[in-house]
Amino acid sequence: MSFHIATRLVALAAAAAVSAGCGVSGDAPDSGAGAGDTWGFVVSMWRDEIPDVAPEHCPDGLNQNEREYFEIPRGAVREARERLGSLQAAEDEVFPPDACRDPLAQPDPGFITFDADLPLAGLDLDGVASTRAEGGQCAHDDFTSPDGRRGIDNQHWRLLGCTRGYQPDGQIQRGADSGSFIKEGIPILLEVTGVDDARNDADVRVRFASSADIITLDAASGVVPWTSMDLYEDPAYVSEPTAGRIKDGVLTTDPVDVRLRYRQQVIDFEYYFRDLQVRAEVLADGRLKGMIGAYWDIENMFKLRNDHRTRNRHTGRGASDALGYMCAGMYHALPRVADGHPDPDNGVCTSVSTAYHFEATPAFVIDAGAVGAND
Amino acid sequence: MTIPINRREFLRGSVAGAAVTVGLPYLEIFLNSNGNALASGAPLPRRFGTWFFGCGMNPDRWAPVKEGADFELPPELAPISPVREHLSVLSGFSVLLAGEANQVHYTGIVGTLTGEAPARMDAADLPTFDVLIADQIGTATRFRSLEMSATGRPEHSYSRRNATSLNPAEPSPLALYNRVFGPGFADPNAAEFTPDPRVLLRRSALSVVADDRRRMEAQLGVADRARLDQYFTSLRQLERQLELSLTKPPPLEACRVPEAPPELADSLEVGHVVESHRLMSQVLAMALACDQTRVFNMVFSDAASSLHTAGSSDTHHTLTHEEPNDPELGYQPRATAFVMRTMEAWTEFVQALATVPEGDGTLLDNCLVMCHSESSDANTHSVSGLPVILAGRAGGRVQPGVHVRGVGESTARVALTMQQVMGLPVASFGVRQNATSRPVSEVLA
Repeated sequence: MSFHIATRLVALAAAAAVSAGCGVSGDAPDSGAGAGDTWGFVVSMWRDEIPDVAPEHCPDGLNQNEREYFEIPRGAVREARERLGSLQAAEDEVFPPDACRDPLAQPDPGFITFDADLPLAGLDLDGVASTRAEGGQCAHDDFTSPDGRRGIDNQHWRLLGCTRGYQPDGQIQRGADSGSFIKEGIPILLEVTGVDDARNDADVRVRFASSADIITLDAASGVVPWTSMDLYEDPAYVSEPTAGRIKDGVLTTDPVDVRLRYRQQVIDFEYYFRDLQVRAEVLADGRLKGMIGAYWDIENMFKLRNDHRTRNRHTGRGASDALGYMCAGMYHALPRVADGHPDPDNGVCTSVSTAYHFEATPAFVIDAGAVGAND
Repeated sequence: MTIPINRREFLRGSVAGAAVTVGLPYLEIFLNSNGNALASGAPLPRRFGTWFFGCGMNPDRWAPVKEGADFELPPELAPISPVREHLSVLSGFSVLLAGEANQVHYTGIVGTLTGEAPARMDAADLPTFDVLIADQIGTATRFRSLEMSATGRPEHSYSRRNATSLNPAEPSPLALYNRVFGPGFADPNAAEFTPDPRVLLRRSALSVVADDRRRMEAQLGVADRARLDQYFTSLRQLERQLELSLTKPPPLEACRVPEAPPELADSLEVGHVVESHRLMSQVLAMALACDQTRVFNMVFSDAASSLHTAGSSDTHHTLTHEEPNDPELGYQPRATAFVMRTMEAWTEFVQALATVPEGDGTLLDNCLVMCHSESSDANTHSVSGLPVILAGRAGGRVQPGVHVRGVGESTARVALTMQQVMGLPVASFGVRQNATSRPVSEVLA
C-alpha cells in the first residue's frame, strides 16, 4: 500500500473519529476535508539558527570556559578526584565557587558577544527594524535574513555567536545533525484548528504543547507520520490557542506564551518562551517547514543551560566547559543583550529573542481530557 | 579386542587418601579427521568476548561507505588493515532512546549490552548479555568469565548481572596472570596432577551439606522444598566448579603457561595503557587456549575515556568536547589521535588471538569478539551509529569480512546475534524500541 493511500485511509479514520466527538486532530492538509478542519503535527526537526561565521566576525576571539579563564590544569581535577573519591568534591576544591549553581558566586568576568552583521534567518518578532543607535528600551541591532527581510530579532545569537559550541561545526550544530532532539526527550506538538482552505485561510487557531507520548521512528530514523500523540498531562505545557493565518500556503501566527517540557541528556527542565510566533510553509506532503521565533525568558534560559545535575553531581560547569563559556559571564551578559519584556519596575529586559528552524510531521494530536473512556 | 575410549572416561585413584578422578587428555583419536571438532562431532570450545573503548570515533571518518564485502577502510579504520580478513564492521546501529534522556556516556553502553535505554543513571536492572552467554557456556570452565581493564581501574567494567552486581575487572596484567595462572591453576599439559587439598576440604564440606539437604527435604512441604531447591542450585554450581578443580584437565595443544608479566605502574597515559593492554591480551589468549574461561570482557578505555597523552593533562574525553575542529582537517586532531591508538590496540588484540594455533585454525577462529563503544560522536554524546566491529568465526558460525549498515536499527540486533551464535535458545532481545527478533544475518556463515 502506498504512503499516499495509507495517508488517505488514516485521514478518513480521523475524520470519523472527529465526527464521533473524540478530541483527535490530524486531517491531512491535502485530504480535501471540509470547513473547520483540524491539523495535528509533531515536531520532527528543531535546530538553532547558526549562520556561516568566520573568525573575523569575532575579532576578540571566542569566550573562554572556567578552566581556561582561571588557568586550572586538568590534572588538578583528576588528582583531587582520586584523592577525594568524588568528581563533585574535586571540582568544588579545584574551581572557584560554582557560578552555574549560584550565578552571583563569582564577579562578572565579561562575555564576548557577537557584534558583527551578517545574514541571519529568523523572524521579525517586534515588527520593527531596530538599531541600538536609536536607543530606547531594550535597544538592539536587528539582522537581515538571507532572503532580504529586515528586522530579524535574534539576540540569543548576539549572546552566543562567539562561543565555541555555537560555531557551525560546534556541539550545538553537531547535536542537531545527529537528530538527538527527536530521538530522546519529550516531543513538541502543534495543532491548527479551523482550517477551511489549506492554501489561504485568514482565520485559524494554533496551539503548541508537549506530548505525553514518544516519537515513533521508522527504520531510517525518520519520524513516522500519522501516529497518535497525546497532549502532556500537565496543562501548563499546553498553550492557549493563538490566532493564525495561511496565505499562499504559508502559516503565520500571532504571539503566544508557551511552556514546553525539555528533557535532553543531563537536562530535565522546561522552555519558557514569551510571544512565540511561527512562520512555516505547508508542504505538499502535509508537513510544516519553517521557523519558530520567540523571546526566551532569560532566567529560564540560564537555568536550563546551566543548572542541572546527574545523581549527586552538578553538571552545569561541565556543560558550560564543553560549550566554551563561563556561567558568571553569561549571567551578567544576558540583561545586556536582552531585548524583550522589560521589567515594569526597573526597565531591565527579561527575555532574549531567538529563532529555530523546525519541521513538523502530521500526527493525530489527542487531547486525553476530551476523550472519555466511553466516547 | 579394542575397547572404545571416549573423552569423558576418567582414571580413578586416590591422592593423600582422597579419591581423585583424572580426565583423559585431548588425544588425537578424540578429534575428527579435519582437526576442527571432537570425534563425536562436538565442536571445539567456542568463546565469546567484548572489547570496549570509550568516546567513540568520528562517524564520517570511521564508517565505510560500501556495504557487503570488499568495503573500503576509511581513515579511522585504516589501522585494522592487517587483520581485516578476521573482521566485520557494523555501522549505523544505535541505542534507541524510547523517549528517555540520553544519560551521557552511560546509555550507549548499557543500551548495547542490556537492550534497554535506561531512564536514569543506575536505573537499568537487566543483565548484560555477556553474563547470559556466560551462564550458557561458562559453567564448564574454571572461570565463568574474566573481566579486564587496561586502565588499571577495577571499576572500569561494564559486565553485570543487575544494577548492583557488577563484575569487577582485573586491573593489571600481573593481577590477571595471578588470577589465571596463580594458585588453583592446573596445567593441562603437566604430567602430574595434584588436587588442591583446600578444594578437597571444601568439597567435603559441601558433601555434608548435601547429606543434610536430603535429610531436610524428607521433612519439608512442597513450597519449602522449592525454596530449598533454589538455594541449593547455587551450591550445585559450586560443586561442579569444585569437581572441575579436582579433575585433571585434558592436555590442550595451544596452551602454554606464559611468563608472568611485569608489574606496571598505575597510569592512564595512553602509551602505558596500550602496553598494559598488550600484556593482558597475551595472558588472556593463553587463558582461553588453556580453557580457563570461555567468556571475557576487556576494557581498553573507560566510557568518557580518561586516557591522556604523556606530558598533557587533557583527557581524551575533555578533548572531544573542548578541542576545536581543525579548519583544514575538519576534525579534532588531538581527540582523533586517541581513536587511532584505540584501533591500533584493537588490531593488536585480534592478532594476539589470531596467532595462537588451535585445531586446524587459530584460537580466533573459535572466538567471537564484539568491539564497541558508548558513543559515536562523543562531542555530542551521540548514541546513533555506534561503532561495532566483530572478530573471529565462532567455530565456523560467523563469516567475517563484511560491512553491514544498520541505519536506525538497534544495537540489540547485534546482541541477539551474539547470543544466538553462542548457542543461547533466544528468539528476541531488548525492550521497548530496542526489542528485536532479527539477528544480523549478514555476518552469519
